[in-house]
Amino acid sequence: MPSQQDIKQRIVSVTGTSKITRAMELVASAKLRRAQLRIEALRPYAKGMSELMSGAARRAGNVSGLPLMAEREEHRRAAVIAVTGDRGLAGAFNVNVVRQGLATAEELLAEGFAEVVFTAVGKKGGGTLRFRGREVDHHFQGFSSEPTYDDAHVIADFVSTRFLEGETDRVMLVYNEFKSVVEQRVVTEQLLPVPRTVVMGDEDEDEDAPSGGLSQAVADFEPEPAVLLEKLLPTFIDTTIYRALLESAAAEHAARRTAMSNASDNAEQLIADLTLAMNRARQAAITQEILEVVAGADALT
Amino acid sequence: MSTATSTDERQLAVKVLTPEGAVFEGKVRMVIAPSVEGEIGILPRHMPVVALLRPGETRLRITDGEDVILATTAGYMSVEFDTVVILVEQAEPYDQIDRARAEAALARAREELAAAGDDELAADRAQAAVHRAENRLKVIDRNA
Repeated sequence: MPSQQDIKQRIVSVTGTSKITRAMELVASAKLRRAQLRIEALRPYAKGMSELMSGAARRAGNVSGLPLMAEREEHRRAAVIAVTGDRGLAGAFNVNVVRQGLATAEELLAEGFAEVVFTAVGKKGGGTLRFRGREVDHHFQGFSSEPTYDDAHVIADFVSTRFLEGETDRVMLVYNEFKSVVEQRVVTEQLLPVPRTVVMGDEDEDEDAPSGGLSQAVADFEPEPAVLLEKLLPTFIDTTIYRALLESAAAEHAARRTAMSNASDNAEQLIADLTLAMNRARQAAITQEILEVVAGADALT
Repeated sequence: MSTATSTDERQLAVKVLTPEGAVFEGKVRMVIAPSVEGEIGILPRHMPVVALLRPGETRLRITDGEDVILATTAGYMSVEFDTVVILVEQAEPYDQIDRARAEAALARAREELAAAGDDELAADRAQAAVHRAENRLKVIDRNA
């Protein structure tokens, strides 16, 4: 049985840990709110972008000639972009992406790709993938908690260039989507070649502005729709990656908040249990002493 | 709702959107934007247009004496039914650009470009920063 002193020390240490987890929880909440605002801020731009793109694509008609959209016959090499965080202590956040990334790699191999490489975004994912002996062609890090559009642009440029040079024939994007404060979902999207359905858009489901695709059928394009579309696609890829980075950042903070909140609750429970054990130990010691005194007094008479 | 239809009273609903949020949202009389094929001016009742924009300055005429001038990066503009949507990577109001800071940013971007060397990704990023900084200064000079 541990002594009172031992238990007291453990209580002090658990109290210290709970202070840290509580602080991390608060920090994660604040960062989460900011990340959510940035997702909101991107939404109108992203919506305008896809409307413009589907309008241009419909007017251009034949889009199969665009290199960024051309489905390739050869299946030599595929790339999987795994978006993780730079830090741990966020529950299963990073593990889930890595696991899904590996599963996606298996699917690509099953589909006939000879080789799959990973492009790691975030310190954690890159480290784990390398540790597991996977080929990582580039490791972006240092911005997972507050990504900027420029960060997204650099990643987009890297993967697009490699795709256009024929280094890769397909690029998949795996990231955590921020569903709600308590739920994150790992999603897998095909980034390159840009799927036809994504470009054409599936006839606006959530219409809140009167700016439908209708009038673009008569709009004057300057330059021509096909040329415009070719310019639009890289911007679209930037935006897609930027959205994934923002979603992932929000999901990371939400996951960390939940994990830290659980840790704080556990610490509280642990402190309660330890306090009880300590009181019990103290009571046992007192009882023991009384017994000894009484036994001593008995022996004298 | 007024039933007046004279051009003077008709206005354009303009949105200038960037990935970081809306920079301008409101009613204006005229939009002048830097299209790749030259500046284009948009007045109410303009026909639908979709245009590619180059880096430059976008002018929004609120009233006759009052312009909002934005330093904008490359992007897109769509016009339909008196609604103008401008999508750019960055848009900075002219009156919020500080000359000294813009110059410092340009110098820093040039240094980064020189330091980037063989690192294509870093060079790419620095080059974009140089273009943005140059555009900012150009907009200041034009309106000084």
